[in-house]
Amino acid sequence: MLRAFGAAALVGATILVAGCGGSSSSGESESQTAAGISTAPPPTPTACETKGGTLKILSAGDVDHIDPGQGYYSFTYEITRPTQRALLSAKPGTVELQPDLAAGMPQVSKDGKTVTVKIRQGVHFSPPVNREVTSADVKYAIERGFATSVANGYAAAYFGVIQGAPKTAPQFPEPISGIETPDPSTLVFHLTQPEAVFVTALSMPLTAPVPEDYAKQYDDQTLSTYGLHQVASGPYMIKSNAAGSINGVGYKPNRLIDLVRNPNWDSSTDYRLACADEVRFEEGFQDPTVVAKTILSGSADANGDIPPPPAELRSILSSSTESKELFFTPTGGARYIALNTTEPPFDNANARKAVAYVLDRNALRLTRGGAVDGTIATHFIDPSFGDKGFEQAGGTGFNPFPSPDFSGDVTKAKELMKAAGYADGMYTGPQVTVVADNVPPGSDTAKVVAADLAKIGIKSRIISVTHATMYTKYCNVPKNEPNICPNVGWLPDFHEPQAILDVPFNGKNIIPSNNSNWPLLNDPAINAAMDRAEKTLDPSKRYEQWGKIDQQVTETASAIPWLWEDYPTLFSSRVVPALMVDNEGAPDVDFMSVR
Amino acid sequence: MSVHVETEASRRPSPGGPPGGLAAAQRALAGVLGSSMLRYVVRRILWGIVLLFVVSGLTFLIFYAFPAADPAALRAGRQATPQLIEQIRHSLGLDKPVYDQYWLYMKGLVLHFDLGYSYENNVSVTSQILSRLPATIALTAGAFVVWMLVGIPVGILSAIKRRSVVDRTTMGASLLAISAPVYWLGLIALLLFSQDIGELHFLPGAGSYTPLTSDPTQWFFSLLMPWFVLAAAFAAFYARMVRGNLIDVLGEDYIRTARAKGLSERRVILRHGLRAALTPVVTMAGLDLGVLLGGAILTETVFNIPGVGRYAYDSIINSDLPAIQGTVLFGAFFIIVANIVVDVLYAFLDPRVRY
Amino acid sequence: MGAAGAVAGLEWTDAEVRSRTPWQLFWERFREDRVAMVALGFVAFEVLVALFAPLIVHAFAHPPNAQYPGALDPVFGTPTGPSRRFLFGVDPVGEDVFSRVLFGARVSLEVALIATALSVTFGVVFGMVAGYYRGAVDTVISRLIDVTLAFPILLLALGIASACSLGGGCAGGLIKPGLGTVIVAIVVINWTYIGRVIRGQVLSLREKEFVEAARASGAGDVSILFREILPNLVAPIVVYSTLVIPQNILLEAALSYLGVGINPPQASWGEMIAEATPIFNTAWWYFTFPGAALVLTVLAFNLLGDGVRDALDPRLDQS
Repeated sequence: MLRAFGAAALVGATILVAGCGGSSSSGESESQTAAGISTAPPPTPTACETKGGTLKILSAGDVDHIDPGQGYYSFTYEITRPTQRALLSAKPGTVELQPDLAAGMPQVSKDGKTVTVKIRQGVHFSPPVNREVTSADVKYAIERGFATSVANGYAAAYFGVIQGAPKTAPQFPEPISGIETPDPSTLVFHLTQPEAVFVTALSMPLTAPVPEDYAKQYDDQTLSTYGLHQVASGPYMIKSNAAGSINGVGYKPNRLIDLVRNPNWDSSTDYRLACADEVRFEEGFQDPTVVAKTILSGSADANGDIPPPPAELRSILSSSTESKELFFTPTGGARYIALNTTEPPFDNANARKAVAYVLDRNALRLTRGGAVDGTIATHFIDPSFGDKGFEQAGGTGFNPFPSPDFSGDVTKAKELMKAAGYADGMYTGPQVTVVADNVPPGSDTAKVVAADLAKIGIKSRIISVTHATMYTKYCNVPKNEPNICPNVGWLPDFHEPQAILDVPFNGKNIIPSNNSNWPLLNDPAINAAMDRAEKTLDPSKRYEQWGKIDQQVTETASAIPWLWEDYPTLFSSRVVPALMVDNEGAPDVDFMSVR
Repeated sequence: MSVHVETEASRRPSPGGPPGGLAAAQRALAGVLGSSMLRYVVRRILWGIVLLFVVSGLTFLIFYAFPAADPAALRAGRQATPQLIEQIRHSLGLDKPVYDQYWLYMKGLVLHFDLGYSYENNVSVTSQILSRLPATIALTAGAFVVWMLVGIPVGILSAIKRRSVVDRTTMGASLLAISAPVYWLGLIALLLFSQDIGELHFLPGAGSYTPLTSDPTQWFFSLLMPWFVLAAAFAAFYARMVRGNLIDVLGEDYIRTARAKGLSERRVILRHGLRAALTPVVTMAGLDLGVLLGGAILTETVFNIPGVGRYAYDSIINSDLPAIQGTVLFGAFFIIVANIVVDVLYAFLDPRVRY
Repeated sequence: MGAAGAVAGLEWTDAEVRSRTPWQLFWERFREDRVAMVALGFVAFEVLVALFAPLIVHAFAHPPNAQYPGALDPVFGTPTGPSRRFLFGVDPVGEDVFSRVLFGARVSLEVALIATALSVTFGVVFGMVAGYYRGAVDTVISRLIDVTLAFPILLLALGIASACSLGGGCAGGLIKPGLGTVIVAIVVINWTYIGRVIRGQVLSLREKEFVEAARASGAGDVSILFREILPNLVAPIVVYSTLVIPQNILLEAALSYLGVGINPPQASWGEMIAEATPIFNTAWWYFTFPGAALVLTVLAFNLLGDGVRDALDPRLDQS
């Protein structure tokens, strides 16, 4: 029902995106949440049990953008992964990258400024384009991301380092001199400086090929309509008519996305199995309980963006048959409470630390479903990163603001309030503003925060607005930012600690609107450390550096993390389960087959 | 002798009494062809068009002038540069003054019937509304049938058997139905009857709506609960209204006269009472239908029916301005048309109304 | 005083033939309607409960905004149902549902009564002015009513509420987000109905002889409006108010259900039902009790309204 998309807000409330990246580690071995529930993914199928049939995935909302060059959202990746072949993608069931459209892993020069990628032969576009994919198609795909007609959200962040990448966005796609295509199967990137995550970023959907001759007519409009006419390079394509349009055919906004086989896909060029003949993403389901029960009854096969609610999880876990179909995947990031460090009272570090002490993280976790929902977070890099930053940050042992049972320590908090200048440890200033979601669980989180703040005398005024309003009018706009934005969090684009810490905490990323550095943290020491780490090509050195940065950021208490979330995915007994470990456990239709 | 004369007289058309039979139809026909009726209809239609303009202007004022969220920022997505957002704002025309935007929008609407393109996914608002219209029509029409078929007979029965047990029961039930919010009733219904989570599993639950063309059986059964839940309050309201009207009418002098003349009770009621009692009901029914066709937001929400009402609500939540404008205009259109149809019908039936 | 009428064998008592005012008539008829009296009793009870909610809650239950995470399942976060400690169970944040239902009554009654009072005031004033002065004034007001009625109601209310939901509120900060916004949204929609009714009444009243007489004796327009016409409008105003209070309670609940208006952590029945919707089959108490409270309240006001209307106009025996 209406409020049920609070559960979908699980994904939406924190604008979460996960990409893939890095090598595997403890992320894929048995890891335990605080409830003793395993987060091991299902074994990745190596062959189809049956070929054919239709898969049905249920979801609440729609993709953020249907254009693969614009998509920046975990649910969208459930569509782009089977239809668009990026240069690299994650090995099934892991977060390790392997060549996808690329013929082999990219070669990086010693100085890190030249990256060479070979394109696989024999990959063809779907109808109506049909021809073979060349390096020029990948070049164009990346170039179009910089134009305002396409406006990709991460192009500048990860690919801005390419020579010739525009500093101010052109209106329509323009060539970038730093991307060279010496022959149809070779791609060379010339960078202005080394970038540690550049190769990992080649797994983002922006690198999936786009045929310029076909797409130009759509991209040369103020707002590109290529998305509604897109062609695919993967085993599946969004159903289209003869002219290539998907609107009303395979794409009914907020209702249905229908994938059918790409007739030009050659299975010998791909690691994907592609067992089913058709995949239907049916959208608009507001009630997570109904979705869960529909999947359990076999009328649908997996949840796309609307996880089973805690009550359902309990009943599923208590059944020996049903619990076999439920899997938890670490999302890779953290949820946190952002404090505005540019306005009183939280411009005072002691006041912030007082808040970090007084917050009852246990109660906060209960608003999202208790221990089954994940581990209480004490810093930002998530446990699934293992030795790629998590351990370097001190693991679960690093907790600068400890309290008994994570329920908050009012005494310590009051001490720090005294240090901040409040005589008896109780706040004496004006009301603080909190802008929160108007639906649960975001609204519940805000309520808990307000109740905890009251323990040190801070009275809060909760402004309860829709999601869209919260972000675009308040929390993402530094000028209008309230004292507290409680419903924020960050998921990494791929499995590199930079992707967790850089955008949300680097001072250079503060922009006047659509800002994601919610605490407006601008600490010169931390900024410098991040800039150094971004250029460190050696992985172990890099993870050391980011581990330390995680600790530094946590100690500023400008944002207080409270949950490393595990995302539940439920499959029906009718299918062989497979999920994307690098994308919050989203169902991987490339490997699911009907039993 | 005098008895017969008066019954005949009561059937002859008279200026003040209830219009009767053939003669009235003949006069009405003359009226339609005549200029006064035509003038009336034209006047109402013209005023309806003016109303639509005013409604669209007000909508612009409420939603565009005070947007709850920033559509350009929403469209730009995460980590977009401010420059990008400004460019998107410019390409969406949002940096123009409100009256400019209004002018451009109205030009598109009037000249091309173009309701614009959704800020959320760039799909045409018209196509979205049209694709969701069948669900809303199905829900509304079905509920309409149910509430008329239930409410009117119940009201008549209760009026005839006034103060009996039947009457008290039905009126009590009606009061309950009017007092319960439709979303609460919907939840109770789901809890009791839905196949997936209900106690007695025999009807499809929320979200099971399928279009008529793909699966007629499922379509029908998935709409049963929504029809009855939506119709409940209306049926109750109409039952009460019909009962009240009929009791009023049955107390009128001419009814007493008819009774005194020895006409059978049934004839009294059916011939004379009902016509007068039901005319205002027809009016209300038309108006209610008009309002509901704009989208029954609450029912569509509880039962997850992909109709226009739900679309309107979602677009307000997402500050999808063209979609908001489109759905508001759409709803207003049906309300205005319903009003015109009902007024014209009334004028048809009672020429005094055509001032 | 009995001597004047003394007749042999008969004794005149002091009982006079009293003439009763319309209000006394009304009250006597109302008193005889048992159902209406029960409804009145319930409404009075509820008003008292709402007024004294803080005391009741302090004595028997927990503060409505106090959170008790201990009452939630630690592994799944699911709330517990009715128990001795929490009469109506807890909500997903661990708040006492019983207390919140009581405090929700305050919100519902407050909004409905204020919104009704305001919309009746505006409607009567505009209706009177339109019906009495006619001409251009009437045209403007009638057209304004037409426009308002052409808007889909919920969308208009949602629009006003969302436009005013930003921190600064609207109308220059006069209307702050929260209760005020909901009241404004309801008033904007509601005044039109009574405006029309009153206008119609005034249109016919102004032709009556007593108005002619007052005019002839030199009374000004305003005096006529308030001394002659308004007293005759009391009946339709009362009737309309009784009709519309329960509708406004439902409208406020609907707006809260749709997520606009009331700011957390304030309790509101509609908002509670909305929050309960995703978990309604496992946490039945969370939507049943606020829903029942809502239904009972609206039912009581409906019955009360029926009783008032019947007592005002007993011409037809409708009971």
